[in-house]
Amino acid sequence: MSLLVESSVLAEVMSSVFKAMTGLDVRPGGDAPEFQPIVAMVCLSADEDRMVVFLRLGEELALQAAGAMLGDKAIRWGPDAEDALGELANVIAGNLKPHLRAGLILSLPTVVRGSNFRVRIPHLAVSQSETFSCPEEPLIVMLGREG
Amino acid sequence: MIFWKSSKTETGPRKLTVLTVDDSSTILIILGKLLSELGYEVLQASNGLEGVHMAQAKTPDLIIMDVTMPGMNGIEALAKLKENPKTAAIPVMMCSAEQTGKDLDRAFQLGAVEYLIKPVTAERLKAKISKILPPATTM
Repeated sequence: MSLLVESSVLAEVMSSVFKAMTGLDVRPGGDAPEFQPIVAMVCLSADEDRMVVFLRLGEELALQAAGAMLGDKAIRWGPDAEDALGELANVIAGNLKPHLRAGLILSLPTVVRGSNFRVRIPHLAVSQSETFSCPEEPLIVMLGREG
Repeated sequence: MIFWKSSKTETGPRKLTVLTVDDSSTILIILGKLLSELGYEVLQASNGLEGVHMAQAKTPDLIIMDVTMPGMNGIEALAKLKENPKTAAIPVMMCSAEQTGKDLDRAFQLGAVEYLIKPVTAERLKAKISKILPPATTM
């Protein structure tokens, strides 16, 4: 599996974006659960090349992050939290973009929440999956590329 | 280059107004909070078309415009604003998570004066606005 970005770059982007947007500390490492109920993703495309940045996390961390962004610690899952998570994925993808390839254009973000689902994008292969802890909750970033 | 309106109203100093245009309610909330803390009056629109209409109606002192939006995106909205004599002189700061790309070049070609890269922080916003508007409290 060839990495789309250096792990150190991914860690730096994750740490700086989370700190700026949520105030939360993110560090590499930790156990990756097989399933996480929330996925936020953004596609990056240029010519025939298509990549996807996935952010997988649990509801507790998702609400903590959304609440910090929106100034509402008592936030519940709903359109506002979805929007906040989508924006987080958007900014992470945008900050990774200079480290991928030239000419990529970001899509609008997509957020999925559920208890039993798989996200499958035809022809897309996961090239990189890295686990972070935020601050103790698992947070998984996956980068996929079509081809 | 500094852009601002120097006129004062009979009732006292006029509060500078910033129109924020973004399809993300999260970004509108974050920008609204930061701009209010800096002393600006804030208007909000959730897409390019609404932003163009609001700019025509309210003639704000600055527009902060997201690039990627459904429907009329920020580049298309910027072009509309610059076509209209009523809004052409309003400075527009584009805002995006993307640090490079064709959209950035196109925005400057169309007349955008600044580019704010997300994540938006108080320091980053203040530094960019200070190049365009005077401090809100001095008007």
